[in-house]
Amino acid sequence: MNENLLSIKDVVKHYPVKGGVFNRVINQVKAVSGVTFDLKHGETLGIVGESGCGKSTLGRAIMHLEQVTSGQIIFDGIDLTKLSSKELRKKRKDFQIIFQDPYSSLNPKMTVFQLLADPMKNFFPELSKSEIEKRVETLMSDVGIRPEYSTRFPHEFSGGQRQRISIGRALASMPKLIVCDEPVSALDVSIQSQILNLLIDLQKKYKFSYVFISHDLHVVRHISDKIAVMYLGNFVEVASKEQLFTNPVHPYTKALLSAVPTIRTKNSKRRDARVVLQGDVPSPINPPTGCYFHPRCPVADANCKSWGKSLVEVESGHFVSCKNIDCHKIK
Amino acid sequence: MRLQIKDLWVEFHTFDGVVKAVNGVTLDVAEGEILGIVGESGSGKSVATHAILGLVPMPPGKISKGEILFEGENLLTKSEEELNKIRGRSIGMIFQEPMTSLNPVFTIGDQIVEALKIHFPHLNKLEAKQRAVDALKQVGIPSPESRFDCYPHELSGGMRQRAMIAISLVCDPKLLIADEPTTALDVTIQAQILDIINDLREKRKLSVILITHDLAIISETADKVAVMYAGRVVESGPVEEIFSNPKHPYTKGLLKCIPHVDEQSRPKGERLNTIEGTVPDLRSLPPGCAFYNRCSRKIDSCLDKVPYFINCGAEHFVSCINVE
Repeated sequence: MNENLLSIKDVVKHYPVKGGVFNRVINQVKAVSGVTFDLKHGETLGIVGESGCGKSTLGRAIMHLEQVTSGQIIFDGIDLTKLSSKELRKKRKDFQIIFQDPYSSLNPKMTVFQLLADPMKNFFPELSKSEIEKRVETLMSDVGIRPEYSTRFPHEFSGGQRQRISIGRALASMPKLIVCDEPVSALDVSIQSQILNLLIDLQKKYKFSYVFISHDLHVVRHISDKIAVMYLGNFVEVASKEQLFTNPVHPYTKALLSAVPTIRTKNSKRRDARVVLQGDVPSPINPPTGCYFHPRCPVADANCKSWGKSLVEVESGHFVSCKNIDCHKIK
Repeated sequence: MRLQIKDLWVEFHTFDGVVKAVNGVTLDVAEGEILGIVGESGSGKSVATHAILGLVPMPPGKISKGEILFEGENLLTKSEEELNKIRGRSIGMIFQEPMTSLNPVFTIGDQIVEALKIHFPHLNKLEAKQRAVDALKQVGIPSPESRFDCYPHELSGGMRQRAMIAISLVCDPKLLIADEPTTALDVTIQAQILDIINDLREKRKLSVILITHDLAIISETADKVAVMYAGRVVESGPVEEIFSNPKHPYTKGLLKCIPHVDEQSRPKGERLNTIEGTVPDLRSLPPGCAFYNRCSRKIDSCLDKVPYFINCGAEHFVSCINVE
């Protein structure tokens, strides 16, 4: 068996911007520009970044909901970008997605039973009716929805319960990989922790891998083994969660960590002065030259403008894309 | 006291019955103080503060009881005309959605000047523009003179939220109500906006009511905090005190629900604490404590009546009959 469940190699996704005479393509939105990573069986990769950094596009590209512009997505040893749509449809059994908004991602005209049974009927046509019923029942109790609710419609459930149904639907085909695109962002904190626990429990039970996309560092830290920080379509730092939180190297990661508000009590130590980044994220249509972060970077110098970005390994399993690595302290 | 809310009750009469959104809320904000109101969706935090400026739609809304005193005057008995003199002048407000709360067909400058002209009709064009540019500068918008002529769609989310703050501050209000001001923004931009609010409080002795669902923002920004649940304040007090020594089972549960970035790394797969169940239906609140069905410390007498506030010292009040 291949050690890596998923290998992403130099994935690029550009969206054309049309305009002018004859509606020509006049520009490109560079949503994802060259992302590479590996994901092992049973591992969780967290992807954090601000809005517009391309994290959702990357998630959709892994799911093949978007055709990538270039690059390879190797899942279980097979390059998904080279499959025909028919072959791809069969392969979809092994990777599923959970969306952010539990209100719009469930078909309002289908009952819970239909929502959960449909993927089973599709991917396991050999199953008999009674077997499907049995599986739906197990699935419902797995995700914490009482099996007697199977004839109810999505609008009869609260946001947290709907997200449980979405998770159940993703699990119905017994996938090896689940992409979670901001699965808890629309939920209240007390419900959020219920869903995070559920995701962790399910992973322990069924041993699949997660790609967990979120803007919330607390949440990503809680659930991930490895974390990738994304800025303007690039990974700027990839590390294990311990490395990232104890020894962040990239100036953007540092700023991000310092910007996150934390709960302080009388006993907590005073935090260091907050690094407040100036300015906004540049437009992905015309990203800056060289390192994309240099216009906002506190340690940028003249050479950053022409630097060719690349991830450099600073310690085992800890990759950083910054020219000025030497001047940052590395333990 | 700059603002005092005394025993406020707000209900909405709908076809499905009477929704009791706010049930006896008492709060106060002093000069130069930041009061944080925290609660989950449906806890009544927005309704309670919208009532201050008379922004609760009536009907279906109805303020059935209570007083809102702003510098000693009851806002609830004022006519619409009198309220209009206060709205935007002495009390400013920022809403959550910077995308939808600005008018897309007017420039940022026009919208700031409009707010100014309503309360200071004697200002001439140049003076008004100067004050608007000053307001933009104050909220940290780079090159404010050129931004003055920009339309909202030309600005980023963070810039728009700054423009909103500039509008609400241009008349130099005494109280700012910020309803989830950073929820739609990214963390690095959120840090900038919270810095601005803190800065204004210090420089202008501005009082702020900061409404959010994010406990960490309250912990970093506010002086005092009120925790709301099902239309009631369940615990209130100084921020440090509440976060280091929470008393109410709901506050405790809420604090444990959140994964902390600050903490030492936890082993992977460790479960978070949860509060089981969901918020009760505001149309049929149970008698007594509204948190009863989710509470870990419930006893039979919790259902008898709504618990009184107990003073646990140092301005720390909790509404629970079975505190540890």
